[in-house]
Amino acid sequence: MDERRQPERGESCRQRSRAVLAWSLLAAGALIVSSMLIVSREWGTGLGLVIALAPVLPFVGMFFALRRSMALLDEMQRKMQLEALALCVVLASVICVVVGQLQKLGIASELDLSMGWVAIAGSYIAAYLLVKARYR
Amino acid sequence: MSDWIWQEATRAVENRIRALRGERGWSQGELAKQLRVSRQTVNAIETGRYDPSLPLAFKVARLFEQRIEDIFEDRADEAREEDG
Repeated sequence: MDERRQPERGESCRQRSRAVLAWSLLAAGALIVSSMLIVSREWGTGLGLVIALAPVLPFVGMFFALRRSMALLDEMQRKMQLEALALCVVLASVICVVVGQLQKLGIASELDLSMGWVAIAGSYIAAYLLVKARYR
Repeated sequence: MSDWIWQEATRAVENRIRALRGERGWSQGELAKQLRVSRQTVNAIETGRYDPSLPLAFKVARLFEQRIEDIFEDRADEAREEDG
């Protein structure tokens, strides 16, 4: 087993998971606020770009928090993540296909592409719960 | 709950970890700490829902001071027959 996967400075897996959750919530909030600001009025190109791309920063924070969190996972937890991601890809693909087809029929309205993370996050949560039940 | 998705095959590896742990009076959490894995992983190994990697199996064997084959039993042939 890789000794480097142990918590450093007393930091636990739970603490790192909380950091991931905090960054995720911050990213989601930033994306929503940014989207609302963009449509609220006409911005100049420079300021518009800053507002539009500002949510990328918390997503970068989320990436590093996730990387730190994954470093503490043991072999079974890593396998669980892999299986959850595999299921997530399938679930998110199904959602995209269904929404796309409904849009062609005019049943579903045009969706904001930047909100695709809702489908991905929802699919991942559902997939992880299924995988967790498998190893319980 | 999720068995309809995974289509689990019959267990190919049995182990005596729960019994060995019981003999020493260790909780799953204590064993997990010594193996540097999560309690959930220890539980999954004991219940046969997860087969450990070879390095982890060797670590278990070293911890219990037993040979690996005395802890883990290969039932692959029987499992194949049961699965048809």
